Amino acid sequence: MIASNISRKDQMRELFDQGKYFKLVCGAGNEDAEEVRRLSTIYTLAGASGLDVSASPEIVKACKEGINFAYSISDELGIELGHIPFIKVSVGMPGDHHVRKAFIIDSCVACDLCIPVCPTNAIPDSLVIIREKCIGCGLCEVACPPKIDAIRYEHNGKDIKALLPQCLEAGAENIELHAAVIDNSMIMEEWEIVSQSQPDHFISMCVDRLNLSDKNLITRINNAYEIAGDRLMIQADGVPMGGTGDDYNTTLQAVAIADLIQRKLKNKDKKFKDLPILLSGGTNSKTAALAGMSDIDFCGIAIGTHARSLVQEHVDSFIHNVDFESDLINLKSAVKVARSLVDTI
Amino acid sequence: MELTKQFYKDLDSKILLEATLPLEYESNELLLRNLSCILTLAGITSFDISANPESVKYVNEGIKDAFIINKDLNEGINNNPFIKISFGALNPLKEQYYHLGSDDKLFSKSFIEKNLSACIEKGSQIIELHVGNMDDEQFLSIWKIINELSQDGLISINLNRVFKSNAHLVNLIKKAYEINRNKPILQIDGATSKGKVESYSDSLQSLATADILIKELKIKEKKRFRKMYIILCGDINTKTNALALICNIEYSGLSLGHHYMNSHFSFLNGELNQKKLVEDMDRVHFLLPKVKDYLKKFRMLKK
Repeated sequence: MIASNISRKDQMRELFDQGKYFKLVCGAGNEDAEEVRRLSTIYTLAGASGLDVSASPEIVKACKEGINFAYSISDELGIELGHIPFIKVSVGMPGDHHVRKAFIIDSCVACDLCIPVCPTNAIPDSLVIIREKCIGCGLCEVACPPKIDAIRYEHNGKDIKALLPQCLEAGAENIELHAAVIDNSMIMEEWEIVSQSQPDHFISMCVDRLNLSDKNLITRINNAYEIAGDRLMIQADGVPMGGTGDDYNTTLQAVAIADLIQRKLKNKDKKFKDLPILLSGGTNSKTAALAGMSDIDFCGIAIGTHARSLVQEHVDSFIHNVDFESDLINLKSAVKVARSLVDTI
Repeated sequence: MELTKQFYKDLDSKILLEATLPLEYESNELLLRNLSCILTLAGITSFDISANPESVKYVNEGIKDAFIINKDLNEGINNNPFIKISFGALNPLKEQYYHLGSDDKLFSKSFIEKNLSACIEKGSQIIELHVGNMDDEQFLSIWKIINELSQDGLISINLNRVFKSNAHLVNLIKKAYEINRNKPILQIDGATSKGKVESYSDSLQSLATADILIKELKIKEKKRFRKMYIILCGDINTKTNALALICNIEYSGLSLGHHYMNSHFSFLNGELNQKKLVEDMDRVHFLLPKVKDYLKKFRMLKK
């Protein structure tokens, strides 16, 4: 572990300046503690700078346990680790994809088309969606025949004012607000709470263009800056939870939204010159290359679906194998795969 | 009907290459006539101009000049380029209305009908409505008018994401093509860059918007949008095709915008305001190879 005298915020700033911040997104809706713990171990050993988890003290603790386990065995695996990854918790408003849970209604005809498309294996043969595993991506809804239309959602509502201090207490360092819904005043009220909860660190706003025009998106970031000042970082979300492929097309939206923010804010307004932009939403091993050829000044990349799917086989085998902590061969193999992704930035 | 078929054929063959004629040429007979003449000879397949009957007339004359010259030069041009008139709401990138006139005039049914009918009479075949910052009701009411005006039904929508979210755009396009039953034609605008240096990022916004519409309409709404044509515009440059290929964005045509025409065809400055090209063959011989060389860079639309 690198000993450092600088603050955690400055450590993060250093990573941003180098454009090397890699964040694994475990999923704002992923409340499967064991999976989060194992993903955290694998990606910490692979060199991730940050881990993004659901805003739940139990999940934060699981993530921290995963990180601690990684550090405890890194020497044995011959891996030299740097700074401890930053744990970020994600919260969102009703209507935001990241914080919804799917369920199946009675009109379902059990065609089973939704089962194989679920990236988190949250839909078992019983067709009762496992709530803890559902990340709200909506792929089941796309697969469901329109005439059947059997997928519905519920908001995974949380009182963030009460919850965020508990998450910080459990080990989270950063907070991210998913701010993609239309209502600006509601978002800013929540953003104020986020800002007050973590006054001495970066706070992140995650935006996409599903419900926001370019003008609205830029206004929202300006409003966010008024509250957060230089602590603001933006997660430019291309297609939320859209990382189902590892090609340039899948990552195009993430790079394009970052390009918009760069053109309209970073290049135009001095106060946004150093605004950290983290690419996300459909990100994969091609993201850095596409962003590079498009001259995007990004601070790092957050990868969710693709990063998880790369190691899913290993995570699942750990889950079936109770002796996770001693199965170092399997772990080493998972880390190797994860590292190949982390090293793309 | 033949005209409609030809236009769809160009789109199916992915050879549509459109030039947006500079706004500052508006109503200048010699400049518009000569520019459209030389571009027609060089192989442009469509012109995009603002909805001004006088301008349409001059462009049409330039096309006729090109066919007269073609008899001597045998440049191999066969089909007349299409003349598209652009019309509609505030252009968010330029903060001005495409169409000349006050707001009231712009949205008055009689004014639209009178003006667009005059443009059609002078030779335009395609009408394009710019969504810009129009509200949906306003847009759809004008869309209905131009749908009735256009005998061949060749009407297209110019759009971008400046004032509309992904969800909003998709919803609006669906409504528009319930009114017009032809194959949908979408001209997708992007960003505006400054300067002559061409970069991949210039086409990012246009390609990314196309990607959204392909996924949400062409793929998800196959019944109505399977045959949907996409024309990319707004900072299209010689790198656009390469970026589209690696990002797997299929499009049917490219439209070179005002800014691009101004900055990359500056060698034409001072050459087109002397006398009619049809009476100045030396100048045609001098200019044509240069223009053709430039347009060749865009002739690689297929995979």
